[in-house]
Amino acid sequence: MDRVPSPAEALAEIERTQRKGYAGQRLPIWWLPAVVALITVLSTAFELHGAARSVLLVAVALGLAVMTAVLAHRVRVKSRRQVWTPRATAWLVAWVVPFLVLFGITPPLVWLVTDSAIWPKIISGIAVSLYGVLTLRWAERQIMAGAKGKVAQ
Amino acid sequence: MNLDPVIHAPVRLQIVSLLATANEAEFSFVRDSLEVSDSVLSKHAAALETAGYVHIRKGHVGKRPRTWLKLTDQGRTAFREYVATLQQIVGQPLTDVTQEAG
Repeated sequence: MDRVPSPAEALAEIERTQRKGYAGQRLPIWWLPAVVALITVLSTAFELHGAARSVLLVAVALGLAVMTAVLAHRVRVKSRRQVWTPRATAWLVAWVVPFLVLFGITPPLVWLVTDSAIWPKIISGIAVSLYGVLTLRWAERQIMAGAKGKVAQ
Repeated sequence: MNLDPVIHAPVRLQIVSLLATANEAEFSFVRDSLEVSDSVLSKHAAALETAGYVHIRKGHVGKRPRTWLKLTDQGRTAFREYVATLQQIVGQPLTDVTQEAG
């Protein structure tokens, strides 16, 4: 775009540019499994005693610190406060509820097979992470569509 | 219908469009997104700052210096009016990009 654009070209350029702007505001895909992993390790730590528990708790604290530092270091664009809508809320709830369901039903199902206190937590962590990774970008699009509407803000 | 000449310049239109989606954006993010050089972005950002449309802030992340660009309220209003004028001229609404983004 070296010359002055026509109105139609300018509108098209605004749309193209704003797509890049919104894409830059998305969190990296790894943040969700990282959070789930930390929760899984934390809950596993409470099943253990002594030095093993202490090691896992320290690992969780370190992991949280590293994740926060990496995310803060990567931030190149700060999101605007969006106009939240019932539609966006409904999409968010619809996306979050399966997390709770998976966290709720996976451990007892795995426990039936393994009779272990730790494996159900690990398997449910993996299941929740998979669900999150596979649906994160789709859920973001639905929620953003409900919250933002048109491109020009 | 007059289009705001400050915004209508191609690179400045891209800068303002990008900043309109965010609260604040780092200089390098804007540069990379728009695929322009540091000097080009600096020149146009300075022009937008002079017009009161953009606020330029120097900051740090850790020990690394970073420059942040932010659309002012005046800039946001000017951009909204600019888009409205374009839409009137062209007679078409903007599409819902979030349906396509990703």
